[in-house]
Amino acid sequence: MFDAITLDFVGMIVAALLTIMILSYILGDNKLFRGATHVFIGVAAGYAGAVAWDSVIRPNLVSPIFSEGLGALLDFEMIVAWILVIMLLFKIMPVTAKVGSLPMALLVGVGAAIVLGGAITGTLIPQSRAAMHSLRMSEATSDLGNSAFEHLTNAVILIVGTLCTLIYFRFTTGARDSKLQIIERPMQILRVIGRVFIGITFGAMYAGALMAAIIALAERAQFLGNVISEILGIF
Amino acid sequence: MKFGSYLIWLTVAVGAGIIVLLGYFVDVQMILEARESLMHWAVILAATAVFMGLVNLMMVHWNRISTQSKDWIFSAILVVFMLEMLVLGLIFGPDHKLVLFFFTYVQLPVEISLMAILAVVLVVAGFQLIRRRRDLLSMAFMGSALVVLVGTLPWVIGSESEIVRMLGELRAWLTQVWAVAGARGILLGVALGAAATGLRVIMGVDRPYGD
Repeated sequence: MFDAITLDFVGMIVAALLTIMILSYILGDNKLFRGATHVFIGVAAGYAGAVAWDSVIRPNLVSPIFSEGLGALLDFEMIVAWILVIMLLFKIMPVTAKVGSLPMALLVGVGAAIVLGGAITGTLIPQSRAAMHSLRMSEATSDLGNSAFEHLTNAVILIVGTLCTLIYFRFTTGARDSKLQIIERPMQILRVIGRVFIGITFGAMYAGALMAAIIALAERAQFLGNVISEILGIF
Repeated sequence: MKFGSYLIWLTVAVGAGIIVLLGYFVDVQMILEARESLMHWAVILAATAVFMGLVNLMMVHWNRISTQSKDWIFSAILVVFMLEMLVLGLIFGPDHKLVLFFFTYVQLPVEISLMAILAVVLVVAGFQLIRRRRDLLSMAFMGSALVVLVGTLPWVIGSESEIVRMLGELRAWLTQVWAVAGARGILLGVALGAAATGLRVIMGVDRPYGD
């Protein structure tokens, strides 16, 4: 009997127990669920630390010193990296936290630029181009219909939906100028249309997420069934 | 002193931000090299920040264990599993079979199970939305969700009847035209918001690193 109990079998039992503990949340928040989530957070945090060490800190800061000796610290990039890391470590203590503000400033500046560049080159330009291209018959895909009328109707829905959704996110105070107040009413109507498009989009996303979750639930049920049959097969 | 240090941090953040941003649009060797170095340092600092986050997590939960505060046992579980995984990962590396054992039989099943209970949570949330809020947004939301769900069900795909065919086409039209229009508007809105936030940091209006 014990020959059949391998490390994989033990792992399977652990996985099944954790699955039951997590699924117990269906009955309401309980200690089993909270225990399993704390195990998960501990393992995930430890794993993240191990990956950060193995793929970034060790090859960039530690390994060069072991392979080339202290001479590696003469490299400009290396010495700056070490100084920045040491300064950042001062952030742990509230008393010395100010020393760590310089590397934080560098991190925030680089991060902001990456976010800004990514938003422009990754979303704003491609999405604007896609919206413009939907109006061109020559670049039409079958998603927008086969006939010219279908294509035109769908292209208008796409453009109106995109613009109205964007207008819905425009949060400004009402115009005091009487001339500008004329456009407030049509803007309100466009915002309502934008709400409908947002509702439809979130509904489609909700349905997609629900179907994926149901598949995960079925997979877990099947896994538990397999574990039970394996246990019955051994004993 | 405060005025001086604030200016140094601001200069570093704005300078680093401008150089990295220029690297997206300008093909000048000096800028590209400076951008590469800045991003290299930022990656190392981000990895160090992960470790500092772990230390902070450890300190918070260690405090709860030492003061025996309510449900301290959960903090003890977290600390034990975190240290165990960290020590194994640091000694053997994240690809070792012992580390992968915990990843495969602890982290993965919990992630899939959390995804699985999302099915129940989403259904309950959907019903509560219909019960408590009956406005235009919720009607559009539930109508769209029902069409997509019914139009994707296996019996709908397998059947050849006219109603089922029309339902499938309605689902395709809704997801490929109406939902795409809304999603594109949301994406553009998010990108505009992200770009505005990034610009505020690069222009020195927002200073999350301290004053």
